[in-house]
Amino acid sequence: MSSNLSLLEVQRALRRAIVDGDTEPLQGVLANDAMAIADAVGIYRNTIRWTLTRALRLSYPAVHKLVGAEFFEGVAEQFSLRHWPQSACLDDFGADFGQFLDTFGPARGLTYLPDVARLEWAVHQALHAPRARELSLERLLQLKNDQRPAVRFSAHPSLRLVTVDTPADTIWRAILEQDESALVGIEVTRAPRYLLVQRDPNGGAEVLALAQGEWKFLQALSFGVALEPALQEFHDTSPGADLDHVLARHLAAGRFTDFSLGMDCGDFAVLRTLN
Amino acid sequence: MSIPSKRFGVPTGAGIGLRFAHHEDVVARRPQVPWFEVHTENYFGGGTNLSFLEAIRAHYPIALHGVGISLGSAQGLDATHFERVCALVERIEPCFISEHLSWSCVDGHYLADLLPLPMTEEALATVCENVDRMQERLRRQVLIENPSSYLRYRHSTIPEWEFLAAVARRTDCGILCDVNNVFVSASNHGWDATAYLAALPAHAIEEIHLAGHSCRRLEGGRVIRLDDHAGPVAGEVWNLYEQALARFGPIPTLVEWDNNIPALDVLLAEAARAARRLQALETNVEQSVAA
Repeated sequence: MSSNLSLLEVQRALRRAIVDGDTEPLQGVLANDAMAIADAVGIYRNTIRWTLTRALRLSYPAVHKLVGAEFFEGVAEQFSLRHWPQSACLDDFGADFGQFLDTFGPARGLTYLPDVARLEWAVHQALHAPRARELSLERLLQLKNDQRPAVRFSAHPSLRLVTVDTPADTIWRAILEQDESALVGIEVTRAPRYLLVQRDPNGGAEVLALAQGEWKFLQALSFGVALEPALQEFHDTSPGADLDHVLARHLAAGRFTDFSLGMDCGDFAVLRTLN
Repeated sequence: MSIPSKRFGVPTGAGIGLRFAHHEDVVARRPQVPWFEVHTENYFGGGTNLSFLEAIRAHYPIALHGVGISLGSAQGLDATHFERVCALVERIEPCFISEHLSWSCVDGHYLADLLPLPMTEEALATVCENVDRMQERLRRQVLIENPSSYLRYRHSTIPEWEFLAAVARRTDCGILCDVNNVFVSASNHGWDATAYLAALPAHAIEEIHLAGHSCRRLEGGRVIRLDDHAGPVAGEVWNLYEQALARFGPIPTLVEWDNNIPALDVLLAEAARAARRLQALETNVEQSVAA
């Protein structure tokens, strides 16, 4: 191939050599001999592979502990080849790891593993979310009674609501706390769990399992549904729940950063989508 | 162009690259070290790492050293990444902002390493355009670091040292001279490391980096030096550092250690070795002025 490649063509050729292992387009471009090219491309590939594996290990510490270092390196390499990072901020890399584990043959026996990964991604996002001021409860209390039904909250950027089909949160906690007895006692049965994840004031992760109705109520509020339709839905699906108490608890826990006022008949459509 | 800093002046002496493993130790012990440098991309989020950096920033000058902006990308800078860098600069008010003479991004893919550029007029124009854009937006001087590399392009027409000098001349950027990288690349490509240093414009050198590297024997017996930042600074690199100081003067120096990271004290001792060389130089200068 001609050595008078444009800068963009050179960069595409080196990318192809590193990612796809095809060094042929580089042969006429580089001053090094073929063996030196293969060695050098190998050095770059290994550095990149190592960097991406380390990034995944930092985001998925429980998965790493559950499967062990060797297995993790193998799965991380397979994942990286198919989900190449698009951003130089490696905190963004690995969003689809849980989905990838769903279809990764060698992990098929570990039914809880993709769920643990999905939970870890939520934790990772919560830990790295931007900071935000907490909602002013004082401002909220100043509202007139007839304004309150129309309150729409803005969710805290670190709030994540995830569902899993296995006791992934119990496994996650036990493995990271190295609680062997808790780990042995876990029965891996398939049943939906409704989880809330948020960064706590100390910079750690708060992970709570909620009742389905409460989780859906928070989900509706975080989607910007107004308070009245969200409370109505919560009441209809969870007849015994103490709505005021649940709302007060989450307000105090800093789930929201701001609010606006306004009723919208589109809220019911949003609620139907969420259901 | 001078380097304005609202909070701290330009650092002096020998600092260390701050990594997550030493956050708590630094906050608790507040060691005697004149400044720290961190990797910009490690502090984009709003979590604990940023809180540590803010706590440390209250007591030390902090330099932001980027590894991901890809100044050599033919397709330009990634706007989202660039804005995140700008936001962090605004928050931290760093004493230095630096990046690399390399590329990492093409067609929306990030190749997580500092890849070599062909040393051509086209690449020079691209790098200058990207450096100009960065400096105009930040309204600050940016320092550009010479990379370590393992490949050379057949159609390169400009020696790397001349390329760096040209970027500095055209954009008014500073140069971060990584002495270990000069040694590694010179060794891998058969260059003369002393001549490399001699060709750099002394007035543009604002910072020096030191780090460890390793040697690997490849099939066929060829030896390649790997810039792995996994050990102490090599003896030959200390010698080259002394040559760099003799040529550039007492330039703020930074010791990097990124893999197999040792206890903080080991890094501090490595920085102290650099500090002794800096002090010796300053003493000599004072004595010659007095004489």
